[in-house]
Amino acid sequence: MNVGTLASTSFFSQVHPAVVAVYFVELFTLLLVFNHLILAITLFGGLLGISCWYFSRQRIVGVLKGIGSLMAVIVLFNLLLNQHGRGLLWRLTLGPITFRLTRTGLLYGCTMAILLGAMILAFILFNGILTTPKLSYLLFPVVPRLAMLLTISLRLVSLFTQKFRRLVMLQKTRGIVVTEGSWGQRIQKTGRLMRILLIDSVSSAMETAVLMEARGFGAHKRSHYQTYAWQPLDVIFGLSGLFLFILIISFRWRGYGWTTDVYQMTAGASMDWWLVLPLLMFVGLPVLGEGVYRLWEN
Amino acid sequence: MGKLIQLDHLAFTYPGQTKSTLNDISLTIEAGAFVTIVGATGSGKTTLLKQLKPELQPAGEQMGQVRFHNQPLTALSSVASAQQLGYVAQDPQTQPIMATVIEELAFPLENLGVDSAAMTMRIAELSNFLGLDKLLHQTIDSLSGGQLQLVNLASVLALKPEVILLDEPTAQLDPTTAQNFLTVLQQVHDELGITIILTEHRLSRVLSMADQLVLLTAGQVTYAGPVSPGLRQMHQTPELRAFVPPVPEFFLAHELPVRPLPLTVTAGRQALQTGNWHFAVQPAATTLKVAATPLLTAREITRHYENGSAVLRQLNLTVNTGDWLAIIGKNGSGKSTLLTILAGLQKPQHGKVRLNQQIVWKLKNGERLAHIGYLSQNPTEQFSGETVIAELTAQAKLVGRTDIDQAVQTMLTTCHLTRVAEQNAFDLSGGQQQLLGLGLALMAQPELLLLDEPTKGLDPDTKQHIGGILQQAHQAGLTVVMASHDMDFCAAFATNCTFMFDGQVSQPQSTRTFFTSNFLSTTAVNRLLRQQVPSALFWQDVRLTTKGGELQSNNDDNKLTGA
Repeated sequence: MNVGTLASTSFFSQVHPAVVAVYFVELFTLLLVFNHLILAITLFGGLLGISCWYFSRQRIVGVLKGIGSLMAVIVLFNLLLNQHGRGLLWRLTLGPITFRLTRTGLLYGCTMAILLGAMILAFILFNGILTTPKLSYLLFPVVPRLAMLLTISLRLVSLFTQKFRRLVMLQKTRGIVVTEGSWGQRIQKTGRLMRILLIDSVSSAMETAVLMEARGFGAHKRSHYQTYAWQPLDVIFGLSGLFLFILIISFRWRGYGWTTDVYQMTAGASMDWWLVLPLLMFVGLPVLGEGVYRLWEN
Repeated sequence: MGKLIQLDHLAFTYPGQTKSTLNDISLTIEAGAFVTIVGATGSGKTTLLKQLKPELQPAGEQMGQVRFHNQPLTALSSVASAQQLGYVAQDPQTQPIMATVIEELAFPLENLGVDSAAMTMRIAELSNFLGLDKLLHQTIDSLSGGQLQLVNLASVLALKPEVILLDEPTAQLDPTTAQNFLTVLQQVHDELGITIILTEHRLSRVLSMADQLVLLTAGQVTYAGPVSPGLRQMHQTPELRAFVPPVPEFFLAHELPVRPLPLTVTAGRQALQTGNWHFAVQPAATTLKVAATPLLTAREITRHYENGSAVLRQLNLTVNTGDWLAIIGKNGSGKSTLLTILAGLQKPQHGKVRLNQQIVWKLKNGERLAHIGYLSQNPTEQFSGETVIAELTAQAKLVGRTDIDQAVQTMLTTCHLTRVAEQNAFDLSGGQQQLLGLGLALMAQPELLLLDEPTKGLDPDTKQHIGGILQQAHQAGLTVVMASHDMDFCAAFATNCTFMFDGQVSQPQSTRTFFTSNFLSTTAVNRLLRQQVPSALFWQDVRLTTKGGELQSNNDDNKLTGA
């Protein structure tokens, strides 16, 4: 999912890509190490807030509608599959089949659904801040070929998508309407569209390859254009994030926010509240950065 | 100036072909020259251009030699070739490979291992010189065709080449954008002394920049030298006559003794004044009577993109049966979107389009195809990847023709595609693809035909041919709506014209009224003769008179000329 990129004037988009990458590694780690509802809601709420701050609210609402259905499915499956949990809330017997709605199932389902929603929001944020040039910049020193391949693929995928949309519209003039007919016919028509797309794309990709070679690709060992420089704010942001991450992980190390036995799960232990503020601070660090950056203005 | 490139008896034959594409070409290009190669489609222009850079040379049998700095071109290393010989392709979309403009400019420098500090300097210098500094962090996808072609040129310039080869670089651009691109190219040539070699169909602007003209006919160089004598030779060569731009053509057609031939409107006006030549209007030819029954009506059409920007704003348009309406506007003005909506291929957010009182997008696809023909500006998007004959046959079956074989054969003959009937549609030349697209659109014998930039990238002969086919169908009762920025084509063939601007269209006017009342968007001959004969659009519209108004000359009845 992609809802756009961050404004280039924002603080977060000016942070060095390496620092941003570390921040996201920490964020994704935190999203994986807690299974208490309070903390899941904290992470989801924090990410939702930060997403609304950086992106168009209209688009975020659109995303929420999309992930809302996915989250509902997860809750539903957990309710159906967790029949032996504790705290019976409701029972329904239909002949030989008995359905038990348990507090454990509800809690676990909601926690998993919210964490998945938070993960998607984190990915949206990741896509918005770590754009292709930044990713390529990060990957180049480690795996230069992969970095180049990534850049080329993204350009070609973008062309491919645009072309496919146009083909769906224009091939109606040749009788290929993917929204008409039985499912079998629709699949067949989509197959025909893909074939045309492939023929067309291969022919233009070959021309692109020749033009790459004409500009010296493969003639010499490549260098890489360094577009990003380190600034004091990068260090401050990076260290603040690292400090909060270590603090939260140390709490988690002591067992905060995690229940190993699913049947013992509760909405949250009283000690979970100790983690709410550090988590919110960590997730909201970019917005805090924006504030400090603005205060720093001349 | 010294000899930079020499071609000695160069011949080239593509694999599997018995006839060579290039024959015994001997040519010398001086350092710092601006060379324009002109030739009809299939004359070997692109093949010749590609022989001048090792990476671009197509597979095939080559005889003779190409020398660069007096060394065989084959001896040039990949690094030297990339550095010294730049190439810009016709389609602006094929060259870019990176995500943003700055990365695209850095790409060739990275390929040659230039260090980051040197790259920064080169990119800064280049982006300022070409006015790309505001676009550096924009994504390639967000650029217009003109901006993209400028980035392609900049990316090639980044390596400080000695020569830039350009294959019809403005073919996909609208006239204003093309003009801007060529102005930048001239700046590159004049201020950096880079040798420019380009092939082009639209010669109006290019020839005033060129100092060497090369005429190519059936793979052979028939002329190489200064522009003015070359134009006279073009005018005498039947297959190149249509390439002569309107201003010099005016002087050649009226046999006005001017040396050198004027290439611009200003030079032309001065020559007319110096020669004290006067013109009077020719009696107008009978025009087709247009019925006033509305066939297609668009009411309050509003269409906006996902990002909220409006393409069409409460647009209203009525097309009567028998009209040939030209919608004129810049690239990106919304012409293509409007046409796809009129064709029922997409729905607007608001408003209705009705064909004979039926909403077009509610028609079943088959029913719509029977009534409305549509040709995209990129006809390959409507191909199935089959042979020409298979494409036409499939379309004839789809639209329910009973005389399939006969219909296909007639269309092959009409579109001059019989020779390539067994070739894959994707392997055809641009002109042939356009003709095939037109053939597919006309197969259903629709009552309305919508054409999106039908002359984009075509040579004048193919334009003339397409105009002829359309004229025949129009006379048989076809209603035509075309989006175009080709003023000469619209002036020569359309019955009505309208402007597309700011998401709306102006009130359609008859073609002559439209072009004679326009100040900028009109034909070159109108701009040349506005003070003498304001209604003149082509050289055929006027006759040379003495001061007393006595008839002096006129001949020929060809309408469309190279522009």
